[in-house]
Parts: sequence; C-alpha cells; structure tokens
Amino acid sequence: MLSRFARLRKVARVLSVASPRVNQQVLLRRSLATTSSAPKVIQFALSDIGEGTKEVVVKEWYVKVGQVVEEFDELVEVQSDKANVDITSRYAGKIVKIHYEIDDVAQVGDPLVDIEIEGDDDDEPVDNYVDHTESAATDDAVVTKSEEKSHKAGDKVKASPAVRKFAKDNQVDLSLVTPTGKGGTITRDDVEAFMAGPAPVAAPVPPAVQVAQGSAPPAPKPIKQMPVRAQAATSGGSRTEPLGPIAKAMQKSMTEALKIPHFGYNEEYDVTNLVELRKILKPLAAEYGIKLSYMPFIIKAVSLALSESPILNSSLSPDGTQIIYHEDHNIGFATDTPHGLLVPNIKQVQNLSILEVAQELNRLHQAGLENKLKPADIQGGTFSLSNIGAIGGTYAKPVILVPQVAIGAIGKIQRLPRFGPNDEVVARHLTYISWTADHRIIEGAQMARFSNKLKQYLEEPGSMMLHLR
Amino acid sequence: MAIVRSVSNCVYTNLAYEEFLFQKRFRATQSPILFLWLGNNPSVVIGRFQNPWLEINVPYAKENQINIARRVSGGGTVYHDPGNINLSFITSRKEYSRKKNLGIICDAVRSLMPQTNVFVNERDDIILDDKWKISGSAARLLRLEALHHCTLLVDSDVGILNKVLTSNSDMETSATRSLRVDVKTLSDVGIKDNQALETSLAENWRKTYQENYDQVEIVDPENFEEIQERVDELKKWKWIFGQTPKFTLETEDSIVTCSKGKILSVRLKSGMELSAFEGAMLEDLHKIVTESEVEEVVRKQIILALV
Repeated sequence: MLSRFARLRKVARVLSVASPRVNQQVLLRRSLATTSSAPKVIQFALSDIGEGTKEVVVKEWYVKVGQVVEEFDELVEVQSDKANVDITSRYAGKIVKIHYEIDDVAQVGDPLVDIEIEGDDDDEPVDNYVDHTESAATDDAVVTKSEEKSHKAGDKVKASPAVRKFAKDNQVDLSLVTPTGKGGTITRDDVEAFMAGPAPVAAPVPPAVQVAQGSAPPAPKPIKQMPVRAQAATSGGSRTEPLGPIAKAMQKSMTEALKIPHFGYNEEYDVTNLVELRKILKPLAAEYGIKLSYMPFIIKAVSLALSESPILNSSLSPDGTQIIYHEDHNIGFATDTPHGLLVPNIKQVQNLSILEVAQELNRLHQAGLENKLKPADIQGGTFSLSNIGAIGGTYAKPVILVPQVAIGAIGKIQRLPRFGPNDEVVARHLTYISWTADHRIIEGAQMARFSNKLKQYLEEPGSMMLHLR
Repeated sequence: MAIVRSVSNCVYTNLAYEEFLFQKRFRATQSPILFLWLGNNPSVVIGRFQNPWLEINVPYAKENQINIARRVSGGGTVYHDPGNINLSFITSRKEYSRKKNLGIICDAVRSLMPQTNVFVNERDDIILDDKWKISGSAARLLRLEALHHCTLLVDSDVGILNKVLTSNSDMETSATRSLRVDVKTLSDVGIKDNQALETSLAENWRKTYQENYDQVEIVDPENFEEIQERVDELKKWKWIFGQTPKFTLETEDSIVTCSKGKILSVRLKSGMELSAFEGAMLEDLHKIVTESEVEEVVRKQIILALV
C-alpha cells in the first residue's frame, strides 16, 4: 500500500512523463551580454505556411506556459489538409500564454503564443527559414557549428560530446531531456527515452478473483407478516458545506492529478459475538421468510457509524468546491448478475431495521440474478460494500465508485486463534475489511474514527441497540 | 541530388529508412533526395494522428497478414502492396512544392503513355480519367526540411484495399479522419510495368534539377544497423495503436474514453463510472473494438475493480 506521498510522487511522474518535451527540472535562461530593458510580451502569430493554407488544426504542443525557448525551438505541430508542419519560434524568451488547445482550429495570422522577451536587441524576429548556422557541405562542419550552438545554449545542460552529437543528429533539444546520469548528466539513454515519446504508466491491476456467488434465494413463503412500519421519517435531503481552506488546497492539488487519489485502510474485526448472535436470529428471520446473512448487520452497522462520520457519506460537488453531505445512507453492495457485477443500493438504511435491510438485500439480489434490477436500484448510492468473503481471500483493494467517497471490501470470516485475557488461546471469528477512501475529502483520522465505530458495533452488536428507535 | 531506391519489402524498414534520409542524411548533405520504395508486402499505413480502429478493419488485416504501420507524417491512410509505388521527395523547406512533385509524377506517367488523362486537381490530388484518385500524399514540414511522400497505385489489389480500409462510425474521435475516395490503378489504363514507371519517375525528377545525374543508389535498409532500433519501435503496439489520440467508443452497455493507449474512463450506461479503469492500458482491452466482447471484458474489469 503506497503512502500518500508516494502516491503523489507517482502521480507527479505521470504528469511529467505525459509531456515529455517539458523538463520541469531544468529551466534555461539565455544570458545576454547587453543590459536588458524591461521584458515585453510579443504575440507570435501563426505565419503563412504556404500552399494557400488559411487554417490549421493544432495537433501537438512541444512547449508549455512558463517554458523558456530559444529561436528556432519547435513550438507546435499543426496540420493542414495538405501537410503536417512544425512551427518554430522566431523569438527567444518565455512562453507566457498559449492560445490554442489540441484539436483547435487556428487561423493563419492569428496569435499562436505570447512570448515574453528581454532586451532591445531581441525586437527583430529572425527569419525562420534561413539556416543561421552557416550551411555546411560536410558533416564535420555542421557538427562543429551545432555543437557550438548547443554549448552556448546548453551551458546548464550536462552531457558528453557524444551524447550532444547524438541529440543534435536526432534534432533533440537537450534542455528538454530528463537527465538520469550522475550529477544530472544526460545520458544517451535519456535522449533515446525522450525520442521514444511518453511511456504509459501501467495502472496496478488487482489480482483476479472469482465472482462471488450470492446467497441462495429466500425461503419459499413467509408465515408471519412483517410489521407494517409507520410513515418513514422524512429524509432524502442533503446539506452542503464549502471546503475549508486546508481541504480546499488539498483538493486542488490532488485533483490536478486528474485522478481520484485513493487511500487504503485495512482493519481486523472480531465478529465472534456477531456470529453467535446471528445463529440465534437466523431462525427468527426465517419466520418472516427472510434469509439472514452477515451483510444486513454489517450494512446497518455501517449506517450507524456513518451517522457519526457523515463525511464518509458525501460527494464532492462537480466543480470541486463543495462537499455535499447526503442525509440518506444508500448503501450499495456488489452482486452478481447476468450483466456482470453490479452494485445496487439499499435506500435510506438509516431508517431501516436490520430485518428490513435483509429483506431489501434479498430482493435486490434476486432481482439482479433475474436481470430485473431497475435504474433506480443502481443509481443514488452513497456508500458501497463489496463482499468477497464468500469466495475467499482476506485482503483486497476495492476502488471507489464515483461520486462516492468510500468503499469497503469485506473479507472472509475466518476462525482463528487469538489470546484471551489470561493468555489462554481462544478461537475467535475474524474478518478483515479493506477500506478505500477519496483522499481529497477523507483524511486518515476520519477513516479511523469511522472504522473504530464500526468495529464497536460489529464486535459488540448489542451496542447497536443503543440507537434503536 | 540523389535517387535512392530500397529493395526491402518491409514497410517498417522502409518507413524507418525514410526517416533516416529525411532527418539525418538530408540534414547533413543538404542535397535533395528522391526515395523510391516499391513493392511493400501488403500493408496499411496510417497517419501520425490517426486512429487505426477507425481507419482500418483491424481483424481483417490481422487475418490476412496485412501489416499495420503508423508513419510520422500526418494525413490519411494508405494501402501498400507489391502493386504500388511509394516515392518520397526530400528537399529543403524553401524548395518544397507539393504541386511540383505531383506534376513530376504526372509527367512521368505521360512519358510512358502520352495519352493518359492524368492531372493534379485543386485538392492537389492526382486524378485519372477525371474522377479516380490514383495517389495519396502526405507531407511533413520542419523548419528547414520538407518530406513529401506519395503513393501511386499501379497494379494494387483494389478489392483488398477497399476491404481493409474501413470506417468505424461508432467512434467519436479527434483523430484525423481519412477521406474515402474512389480509387483506380494505372494498370486499368494500360500501365502495368512498375520498373518502367520507376525509371520514368527518376528521370523526370532529375530533369527538374537540370543536372546530369543518372545514378540510382540501390540500398538494402534491412542491413542498415543505424535504423534497426527505429524499425523495432515502429513495429510496436505502443507506437501503432498506443499513439492514438483521444476517442470515445459507445457500445451497448458502456461509453469508453481512451487516449494514447490508456483508458481514461469507462461509464456504464447503468449509471456507474468505474474509476478503476482510469489509467488501465488499452493494450489489454483493445479487444473492445475489434471483438464484440465488451460485456465480458468490462465485466471482468468490474470484478477486478471491486473485489
């Protein structure tokens, strides 16, 4: 399990790899011999690329805002219906604005980028299509001239002459290559890696596990009728609360990763008492025609714990600035259906008794098997549980169902030896629940608090009675 | 100036060698090059920013051992087989003229058969008998150099061409789409001899430089050490399929958005968005498009995600 910082680092690596031409570690500043006047911003327009082309599609950016460029550095690749063209810079300076995104249509003559340049002598743009390194007839001459140029430009870039030549031969700007050699030296491998383009980051793939076979359908017909419940307490609302400054900063930086940062939390629950309790209650539920597994207890206990940790039953608003607390605990559970594994949810668990939860659980499970789940059954979930215990396996890493913020995977209940109060060995029933939460909103402490509360309800089921209404 | 001809039939080797001529040899010598590569094994070559699943009937290509390659220049998809000629005009940027190059091709064709109705239209395509496209063209323009390559259909199997180049309309993509046009080959009007045409092309090109140069360099790029690494790269899934820009595929059950070899999101129509897929390698799931096992694959992934 990665620590939060390792995760952020990993995400940051994805970002930098995704735009290989940007070396965020090395910024070049071309030092001028003359004193420079105040920097000014020039709008570099898309120049005529010939063939009567009036507009092009922007295909790939080679620079980004803040990057320092030299004359003739490649800025962008554009495509007309006749050709793909590399547009190079006619100025040396810093990119301060980029006017187009990939796949935008750009008009010839309209500004492409804004470049901040230094000094008076940079006012005149160079003729882009003239080779300013004196054209050479031989390989050697060309090599020397370019090496000179790259030495001038690359004072801060460390690379051996062989690597420099290799880079020059392949039109690679060394300032954009990430060095991995000693002391920040660029190796030939680095240049080759840069040329190869962005490397996809492999997403961790959880080990394949067999699909859970759900519990058998409920007993044939009820003998006793369920008590008709009084009007359900009104609910279904939400309240919103803006993110506090720290949460806001955390959320902003994490969202930039373009991924929901998951953090995991695993806990062992001693459910010996619950096992005993269920033995007693199972026949009683059967009288109502309801099959009672462990899930109803767990689901109800989760709901009770959510009442005390409401942030785990929330969502981030679409614009990412507010936390929406849902009053209803619509707790989903993974179930197998002919369409695959789906996650229907039980609505308003906070208002249901354990028996009612069990009844609804069975109904949804059965509907799933018969392919009769309705959209309403699947939508609106606020929290999810996955029961892998039935198939085996103890630890798992479940993934959050957006826009929820947490999910738990419940492992198999195992009978294991533990030490009693007098150091005697006793048999206990244990299960592990692996929690995953959205780190933009949930902190470790909140998760721990929730888990501890749940632990109490599961380990001491009688404590749930305190909340009976 | 130089006229270089490859004896290789491997499209990947020839593409890599073309890059070499363009980015290394021309840069060093500053001398224009005409690169001729004929008779590739059946292959489909897509442009830099294209979507292979959109352009090509991938299962058909695989079943019929038709190579799929992606080149570095933009533009559309072209079909290569022993019946077509590929030419690359490598010059300085200042010297680049698409019209001129295509004109050379027309002149070369007419040199062989003076009555042939072949001309360059306003889209800068070479048109036979007023309506048939016989050539595809793509250019890559850098600051100081220009690469313009063209294919010329001499005796290609148009039947296979039509079968393998296909349009998948279930896909929403920002990739460059090819424009489908009716094609014919020069053999349909009596020009069948590749060799003669090649000689004519070389001759007409040379003429425009008014030089007495009648040497054609015959090269075997497959034995050329320097390009081997690039050849290997061009053959990799990562380059051919994995470079595909962002696209969205809608199937019965889901909407999948992918970009550059990675899945960006999978949204089930039942309402769930599965963040588990984000970042998953498309390589493992590219079957989504070519085989209709969406449910099975998506199902397995859901299991992996939730369990």
